[in-house]
Amino acid sequence: MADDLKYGYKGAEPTQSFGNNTGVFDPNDINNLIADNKWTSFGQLELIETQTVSGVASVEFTNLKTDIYNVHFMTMSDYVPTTYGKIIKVQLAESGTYETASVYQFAEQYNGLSAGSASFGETKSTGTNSFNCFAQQTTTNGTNDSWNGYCYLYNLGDSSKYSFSTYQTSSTFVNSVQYYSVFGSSVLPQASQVDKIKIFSASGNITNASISLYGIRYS
Amino acid sequence: MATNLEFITETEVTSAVTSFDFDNIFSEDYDVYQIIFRNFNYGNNANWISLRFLDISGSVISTANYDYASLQMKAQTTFTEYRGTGATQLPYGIYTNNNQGYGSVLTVYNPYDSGSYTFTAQQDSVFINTVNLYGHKNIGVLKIAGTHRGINLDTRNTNTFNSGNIQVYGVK
Repeated sequence: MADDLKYGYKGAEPTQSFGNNTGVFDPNDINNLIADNKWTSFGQLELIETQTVSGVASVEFTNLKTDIYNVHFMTMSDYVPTTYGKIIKVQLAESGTYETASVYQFAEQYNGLSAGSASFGETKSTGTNSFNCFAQQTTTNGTNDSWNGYCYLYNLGDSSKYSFSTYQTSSTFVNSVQYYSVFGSSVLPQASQVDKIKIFSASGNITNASISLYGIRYS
Repeated sequence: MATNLEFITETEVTSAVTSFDFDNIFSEDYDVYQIIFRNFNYGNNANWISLRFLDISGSVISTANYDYASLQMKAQTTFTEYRGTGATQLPYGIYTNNNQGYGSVLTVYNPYDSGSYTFTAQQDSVFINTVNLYGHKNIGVLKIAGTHRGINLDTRNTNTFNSGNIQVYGVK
């Protein structure tokens, strides 16, 4: 807060918090309150990073800002693999080292439509090497095929909690004659602080994809 | 003009209670809300809790006006469907009695609109000791066209919520 008001008056400082800022603020005050996470500024879905890639082996997010966010939101659009029929893998790093063992768990429901015929089913595992964010289903690279979805990630930065995800996807399949959606949940059942996320294809490269990572402020 | 999630309020469960209200979280400012639940610790490993809405005066709506459908997704065994019409609450899948965490997002549509029903969509992810991962996908509706200002969570028995965080955001 400004040290002094006019005419030598100095009153008791009001308590400042989100949604409850009181007083006359100069730019330094505002900067200080922002730094202290006490300035009211709407827009709590905060973009950390967007990566639009083509012809890469993987996409990594290495600055998760877990000191600020307990819940993250990730979107994927126009994901196309170079190798037909391979699942999207996601792995989490603890202390800089990716967990590659079959310790992740997931459970998801798929909903498919092909030539007017619907198919539904469940996919699950208590020991897989992928932390699912965009479904553990085969992806394709036919004409106009792409994989799209979103994912919430919980407790990545909390060393005393497991890391969880909930996700939903929407995709075209096999030269766009099939449609596919999936929703599910996943967990890395290890109490650890996660500091990196890697997305890659089970085989081959990523032909193209746009992936954004957001933090949800005050979560 | 902001076009984003807008933080409204939050609460934290810090003592053992069997039921609590989270009041005055809905208003005429937003039509859609996202409510994040994290790290609930609940004293019963295998039972669901009830989610109800608070009416304009803050009273819990417990009449038989709730419909729901739920898919319980389990990493180790076959999934289970649940559904109901004319229920007195919406089931909410907080199934954890450990401190290993929990994550869920509940989306609420039109809670404050006196001219429409209140709809919900929810998805969660939870790990249960000796059981493994559970996930839930729930949809629900409160078939009362009324103004609802908050939510109530209830364990439905003598078990207690021991901890948990809830944040409420408006969607602009």
